[in-house]
Amino acid sequence: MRKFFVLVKFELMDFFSKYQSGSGWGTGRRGKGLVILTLLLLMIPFTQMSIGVYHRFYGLGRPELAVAFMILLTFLLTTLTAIPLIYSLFLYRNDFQYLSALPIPESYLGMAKLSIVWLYLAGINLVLWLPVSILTGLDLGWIDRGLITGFLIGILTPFPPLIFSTLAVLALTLVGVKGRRKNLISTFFGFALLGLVLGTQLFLTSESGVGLIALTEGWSRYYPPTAWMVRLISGSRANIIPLMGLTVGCYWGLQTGAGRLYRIALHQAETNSAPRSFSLFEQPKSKYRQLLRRNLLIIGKQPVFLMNTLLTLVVPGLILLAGFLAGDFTPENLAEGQNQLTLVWVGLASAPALLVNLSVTAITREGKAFWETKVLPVTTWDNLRSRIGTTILINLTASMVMLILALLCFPLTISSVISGLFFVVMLTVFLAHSDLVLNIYRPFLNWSHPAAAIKNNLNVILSLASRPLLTVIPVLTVFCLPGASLSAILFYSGLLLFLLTLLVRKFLQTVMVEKFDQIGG
Amino acid sequence: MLVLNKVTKTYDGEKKAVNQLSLEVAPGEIFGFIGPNGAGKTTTIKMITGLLPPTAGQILINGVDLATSPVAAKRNFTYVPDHPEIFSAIRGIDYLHFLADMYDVSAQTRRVRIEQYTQLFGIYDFLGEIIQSYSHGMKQKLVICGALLPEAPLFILDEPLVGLDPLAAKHLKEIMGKRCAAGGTVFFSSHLLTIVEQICDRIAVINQGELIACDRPERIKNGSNHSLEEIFLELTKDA
Repeated sequence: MRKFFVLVKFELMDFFSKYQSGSGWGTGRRGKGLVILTLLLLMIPFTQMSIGVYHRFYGLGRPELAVAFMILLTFLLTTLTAIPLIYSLFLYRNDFQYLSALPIPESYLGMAKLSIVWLYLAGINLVLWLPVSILTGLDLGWIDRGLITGFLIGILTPFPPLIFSTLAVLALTLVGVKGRRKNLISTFFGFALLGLVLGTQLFLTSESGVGLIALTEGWSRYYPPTAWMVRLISGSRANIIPLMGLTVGCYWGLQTGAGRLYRIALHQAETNSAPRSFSLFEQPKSKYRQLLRRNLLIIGKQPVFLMNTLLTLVVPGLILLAGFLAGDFTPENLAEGQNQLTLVWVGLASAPALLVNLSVTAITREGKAFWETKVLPVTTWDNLRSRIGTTILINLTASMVMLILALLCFPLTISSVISGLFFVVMLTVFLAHSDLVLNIYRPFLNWSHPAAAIKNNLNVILSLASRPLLTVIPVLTVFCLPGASLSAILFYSGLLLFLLTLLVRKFLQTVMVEKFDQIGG
Repeated sequence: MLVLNKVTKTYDGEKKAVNQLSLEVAPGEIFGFIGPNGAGKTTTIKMITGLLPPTAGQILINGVDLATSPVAAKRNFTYVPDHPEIFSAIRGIDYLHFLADMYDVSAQTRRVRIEQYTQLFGIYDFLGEIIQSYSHGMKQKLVICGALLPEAPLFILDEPLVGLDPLAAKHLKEIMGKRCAAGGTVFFSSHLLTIVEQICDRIAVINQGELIACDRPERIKNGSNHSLEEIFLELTKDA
């Protein structure tokens, strides 16, 4: 058993050192402090959500359902968190080759990794659970029981989602979801988790009390531990027996699952060393297309860049969804006028260009591989043009999705769509150019972790901080064209942005091209 | 093939990394570029490849001025850096196709050359893998294969033998020889003086940013029985 605990300690250290270096704050004391601070800050919204749930059900006169709701929520949250984590620990680590040489049983190796997942889930559970548990205990006059029961439930409840996630990973690997699909898995479950958190918040604020109670009661029937835990926290100690029984069963199941996962991971490590097929023949592509593809792949193939881009791109869609669910976009509001609708859709479609400032890290993202394109027989302007093109392609795609959603949701007129679209396109093109100027001035290529390139980068902050200055353009248009319609204001603002783009483009083609050539490889 | 005319690189307006460097490399030559650490070798190579603009002076590649016609000049050379830091989230084969497109290598030609060079360096079977999974040596071999692919007249290499296994190093030396025999030119820097002495037609020694010797190895040795290493240490003893 001592060997098992040593192994768990080793895995834990490995996990947190990777987490720390992944944060981009370095591995020193300052980095550790910042990671702990971030985790503490992350606890605040989750604790608030937990307290919010309790107050919502207390207001409905059913505080015990807050417990049931939290059990169901933590089950879903921890399952969605555990699946990519199990994938990462078992199928995307190269440590099995040396771990398998250790004189330790297979099940220990697998269980040591699952222990890390359990610790992670227990942490989430306690953050979500304890506030509800304490508040329920206070309500019932049993603060000590609320605290102890909450803690007990907090450490026992990760077992069912853990075995469920282990089985899910085993099933997914059986149908071939393994190998190189790490990005797909982390992206899918990242979005599912985000959707669950936001959906819960919206659900709690928008759903009618009767509907909320019916839904919680209905779903609780599908997951019997909910009833045991509600009764346990209400004072029925006998309910600890089925809960303990379930935990023992889960533990036994996890031992079997851990061994199976370990063998799959070993098998994958072996098959990974076998050559993969490829084609020597490929139709030649144009240089610009290849450069554009390279820039897109730098974002698409790096999980940190990809998640950061996708999560920011999804913000306008979430705003739209929240608007609908919160009742801001009701038929009554929609009838208030075309101008309001136009402003809403143009605002949402402009959000990708305003928030996803890809051009400001277009050079930085290359890091130490920056030299590659500089020695190639392509003009500096083509090199820069491909970076601008990448930003425009990604941001305009997101804007077009917003336009389609807006057309489906709002009764927009043709003039509103045309003028709005012109403004959005011009804004996207302008910002794709202007942000690049900043990156040429401050290239920052010597980063050690991708997170440092895009998150702890002053360029990104400077670029976002400069966005409010853009309001000068529509204000100037209104000032020059008093009494003009909104469509006209959008059109002329777009025209102004077009003229500014020409100026910035000329500046890039002349001054910035020389500055770019000075950036060392 | 390569002409450097009073090339100077100054940092912060004061520190001269390379000072008035002039040399000519003729077609068909294997040209060794040696010097102690910090002598200005990599800075010079970075200027020749267009990674850094010179503060003063002129660089001609196959008669084309790098400053005024960079694209035309860059078509005439390929480059292997001292560290194979490349965009590594793609497959090895994608990297080679990318370079082939950049140097306008036709589909048929690239097919033959990719197979030929990657088989020779023993990385053919790994071309379907993501470059991130390659070892340092494999990455170095991939970069070398990529640089050989366009068969440009000038082949520039910065410390190319570091990280290569003895067989790959032998193959590379043979390729360098064949290239020059076919009229191509090789310009490379190295700290492995025995190899430089063995394969180079001419050698340039740079120290503290200045050219201190440029001639055939035997002439640099001036008929003495000392090795190139001893001569080099003597020439650069002030470094």
